[in-house]
Amino acid sequence: MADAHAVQIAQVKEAFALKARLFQGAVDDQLATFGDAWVTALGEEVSVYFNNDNVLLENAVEGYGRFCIEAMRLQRRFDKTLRYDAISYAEALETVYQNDAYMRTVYLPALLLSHYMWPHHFRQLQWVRENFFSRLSGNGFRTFCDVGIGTGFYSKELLRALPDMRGWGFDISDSSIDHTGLMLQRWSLSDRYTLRKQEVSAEVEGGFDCCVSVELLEHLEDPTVLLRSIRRAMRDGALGLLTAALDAPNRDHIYLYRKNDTVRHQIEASGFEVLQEANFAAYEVGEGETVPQAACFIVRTC
Amino acid sequence: MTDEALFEKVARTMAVVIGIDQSEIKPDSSMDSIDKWDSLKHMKMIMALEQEFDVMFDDEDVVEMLSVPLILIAIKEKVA
Repeated sequence: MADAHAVQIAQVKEAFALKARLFQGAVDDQLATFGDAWVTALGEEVSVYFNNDNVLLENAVEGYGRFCIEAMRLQRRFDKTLRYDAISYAEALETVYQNDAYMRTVYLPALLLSHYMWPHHFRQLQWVRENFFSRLSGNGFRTFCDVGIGTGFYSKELLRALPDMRGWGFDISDSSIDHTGLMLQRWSLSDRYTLRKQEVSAEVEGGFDCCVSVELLEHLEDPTVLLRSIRRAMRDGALGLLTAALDAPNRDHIYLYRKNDTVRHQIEASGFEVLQEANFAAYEVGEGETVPQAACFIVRTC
Repeated sequence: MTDEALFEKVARTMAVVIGIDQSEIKPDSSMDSIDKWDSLKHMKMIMALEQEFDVMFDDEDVVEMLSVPLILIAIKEKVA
């Protein structure tokens, strides 16, 4: 294990033992699977965002546990129905994105920790760092927008990887905006970032060199409206990272994607060329079971 | 239902879901003592038990039911 972060990993293990013992085995599993890269990434997050604060970390782990229980229960139901529970965007807005207590105690902590605790999310992060950030580095890209910022995780990652870039983050949720503001403040990245509260599918003032939108498409009734809006916000020849969750029946997921192909066709029909794509599954699927996946696309406007 | 019959029914369900021989499920077994009992199997097991006993466990219970004794207590409380 990377010695520099042994203390932080011990903190994480302790937090799981106290607040989400059901999932504590995942800490060792992730360590065994990803090794030092994972230790460093999570260790840095615990040091900087969580400020090595055990109570903050334990509260996040507790929320993560609650989120995972619900997600796993919904997944087993989805195995049988192959449908998401019917929910409109307006209902998701009211019960999730504008439900500040739920966002702060469950949803946002769970999303943040999922980037480290879920194998497919950590693989996605590694893939993005290796394949997307490397395309931006040293090629004159200066501005990016992040549409549907969530926790602010990918804005933070991009700002850290590319010190010459400035970002603009858009989201409808006050809780997400607050979380992202805090995230970037703690990582000392706020001076290169502007937060805007607005509907994600609304028109964004354009000309961006780059756009990221991570696992937002499935939250919408018509994802193509968002894709066309993102395209209009980007300059010709701009690069983008677009991802979607497949077979992931979370309470606020509306549009069911089951294959990369469906997402790719929508992306291409909205004015993008797909340069590279990947699919990461959360775990090995058993017979008669579905598994949540991350469909990831690096795109160029055309 | 006697305690023995309840344990027998629970052990049978657990063994099928976890994928082990029923004889490996002891009255004091727990997540720590059965390697193949992970979080994914746990959730499947909970849902199988809910179906078997026609009950619904709260999420707060689900995260605590990490041993056979605790599972038996939770079921007894629900069916009482």
